[in-house]
Amino acid sequence: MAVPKVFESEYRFCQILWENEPISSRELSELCKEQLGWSKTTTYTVIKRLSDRGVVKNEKTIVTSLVSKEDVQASEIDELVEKKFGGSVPAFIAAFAKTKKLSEKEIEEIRRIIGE
Amino acid sequence: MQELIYLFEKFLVFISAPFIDLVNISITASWVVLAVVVIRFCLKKAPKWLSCALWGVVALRLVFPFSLESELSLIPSTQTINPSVIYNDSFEVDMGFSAVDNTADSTVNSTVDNAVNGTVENTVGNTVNNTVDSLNEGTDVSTTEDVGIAGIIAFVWLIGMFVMAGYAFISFLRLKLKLRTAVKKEGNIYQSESVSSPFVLGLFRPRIYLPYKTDEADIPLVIEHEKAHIKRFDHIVKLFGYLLLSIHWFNPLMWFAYILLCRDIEAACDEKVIKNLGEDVRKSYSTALLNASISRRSVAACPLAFGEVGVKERIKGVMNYKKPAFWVIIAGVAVCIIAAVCLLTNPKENEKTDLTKENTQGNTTVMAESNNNYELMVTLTKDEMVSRIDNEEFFKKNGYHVYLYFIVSDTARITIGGKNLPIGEAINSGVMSINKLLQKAEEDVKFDRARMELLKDGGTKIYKYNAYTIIKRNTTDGNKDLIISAGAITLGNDGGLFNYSECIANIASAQEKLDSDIEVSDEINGVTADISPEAQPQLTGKVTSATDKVIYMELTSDQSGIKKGTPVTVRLSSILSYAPEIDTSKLKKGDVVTVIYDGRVMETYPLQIDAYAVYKKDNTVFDTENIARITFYAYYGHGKGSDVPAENMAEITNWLSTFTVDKNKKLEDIVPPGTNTHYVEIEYIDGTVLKQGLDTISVDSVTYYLNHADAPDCFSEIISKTSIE
Repeated sequence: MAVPKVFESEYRFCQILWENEPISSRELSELCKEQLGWSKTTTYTVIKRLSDRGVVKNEKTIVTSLVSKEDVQASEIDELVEKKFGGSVPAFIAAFAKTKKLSEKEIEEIRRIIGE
Repeated sequence: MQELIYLFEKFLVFISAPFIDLVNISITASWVVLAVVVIRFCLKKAPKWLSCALWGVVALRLVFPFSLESELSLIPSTQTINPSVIYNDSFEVDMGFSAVDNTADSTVNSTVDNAVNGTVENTVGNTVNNTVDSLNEGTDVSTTEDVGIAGIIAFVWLIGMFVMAGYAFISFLRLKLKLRTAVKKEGNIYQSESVSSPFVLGLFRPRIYLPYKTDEADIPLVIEHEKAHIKRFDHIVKLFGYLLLSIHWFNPLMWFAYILLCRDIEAACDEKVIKNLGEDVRKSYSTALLNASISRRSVAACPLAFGEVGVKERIKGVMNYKKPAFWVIIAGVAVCIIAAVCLLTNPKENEKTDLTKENTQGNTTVMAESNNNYELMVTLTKDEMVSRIDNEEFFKKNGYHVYLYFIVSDTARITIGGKNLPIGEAINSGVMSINKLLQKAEEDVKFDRARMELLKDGGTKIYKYNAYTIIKRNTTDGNKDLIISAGAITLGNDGGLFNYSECIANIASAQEKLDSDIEVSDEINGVTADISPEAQPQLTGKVTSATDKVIYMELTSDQSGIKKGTPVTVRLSSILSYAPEIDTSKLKKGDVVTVIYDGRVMETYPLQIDAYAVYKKDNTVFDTENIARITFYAYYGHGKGSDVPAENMAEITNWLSTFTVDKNKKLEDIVPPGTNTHYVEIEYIDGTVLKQGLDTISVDSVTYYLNHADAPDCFSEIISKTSIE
């Protein structure tokens, strides 16, 4: 299933949603005001936009997410690999290795993820 | 639809003059921009905020009209384009340098001639000329001008301005929309994915917007930079600058100035940050600059983008930054102040107009007095002229005097006898004599450099140049003077014609009325002018209605072959009514007036004449009500009289009612022979008897000639019956 694109600001919004769902749109807008500095109208607009795109669902003012955090992260990585590394995962990993020194723990974790 | 077109045309005409003013302001400011560019270059070692201040001088020049003149001014000219370009079909440029002006004028003139549609040019030119001509002919003056090329260009400018302002406004709105979902980081700092490089947005509560992807190390520096912008009010300055730019979008120098301004602002901000945080941050700051640099795509008004402007220069500036020495700052401030004085004051507009082109710039006053019985009065507006006329010393001189009036700019110069001098000096030094001036005028007419018009009094000649007018008048103060007036026709800012004819009328009425015979001898050349009174035909009628421009009357008796009761339309034009004795609009139905005209019948039915003097019944000598008997005598006090028979009473009475005192014509000490050959005795019903000569009358121990209509035919019959014995 193709995960819809989530922009950075929307991602921050989703983070709040993931932590608090299911949540009424009103409460959600209050949280967004606190944590993101968004006005109510902005929050409602974003809810509408995301629900049109299939990222969240807004039923009778209760908002729930349709995709999970991991889904979005994975989709981002796919896009990154596709765009910047010509679809080659090894190239991607190699790039990582070049810029950062990976700790043993991190290497283990990567192996695990790739294995999945 | 017609209405709309008409309104649109009126609008274009309306904005034409302010637009020319705007262009002149823009050109003036351009000189300032050039100067600032040079000065700024010299101030490279000085703090950058000084350069910003210099741009403030440019802004001041654009916004405030400066009228302070000083010799220190570096501005060549504040009125490069003469506002009269709107109305003239020729284009005059004064940049303050003669050679340039001459070339500019001829080039532009031919360009304009070629570019401008024949209709427009001719219409403008003809409307002006026709209006002036019709002034002379006494028709109503129309003051509409057609839309000239200036109006069209002004409209294009207006559109450009709205495009620029609109573009900025729409960009601003779109940006705001995109930034709605920006996430607050802290205070007034936000982050958004729509931001590619950090900037400040917002006028009253400015917010700093950062991209998400900014390096952690860079963020505090970037924030410092943007905060510095806010503290320096740069966001307001740039907006204001853009506003000025949208007004002056047609001036490429302004774009250049705006771009440089943006650069200077960024550099000044960089300096401020380094100053606050210390010189150690230079390296990390430069890195931050580099990271944030993006290719500059357009000159945006609102966002103060971190990496947009001339990154290489900025990094160089940052790396080379040294706290400037105190004396450098002082010197820089001094330079700025001097620059402000030189650039914000206007040049003294002296010696810049070259009258060999017959060019006058606006109106001012010069007064000079010369010798040889010449008096020069140069005067400006109608009001000022009237107030000078009130100064009666000028006008009550005896003997032969020549008065010369000029209405030109005090910078006006004239070329006479090969010398080019200011007019006042020309007269004072004797280089210009009135006669030479008139000779020159006649020559100019011959060679089509001026037009000549002869007014209906037969004596007044008007020599019309492009920019000034010489009026040689006959005048009237009983002192047998020849007045030569020179006046300029300039087109007022309201689009109307400067009513010089009204001015002349005022001169005349302030002096006295038209002398009916003037004999003048110019002591140098023996010019004489002669007008005899009998040459002035007149008609007397009873008013049916009157305005200040026309009188409708019916003849009170048969006159000059025209039957009694014939309706006559008497047109009065201000130029012809030199000295109306009365306000003709105040004439009431039934008033009896005598009208002096040029003898020409303009229309036969209804009879129409052009008058240039009107006398009212109040001046009439004889009361014609309740007459019992009228007797004429030959020679005052001698001989046998002849009574007027009953059948002629009406005619004779009417004729007597046309007798008026000619206050213009005083009798000399010696009574010419033949005066008062006949006199009349009127006996009224109540028994009073009036004896009066038919040629002169005494009023307050001054003797004046009498005016009257032609005697009726029966008069000679009656007179023949008188005898001396």
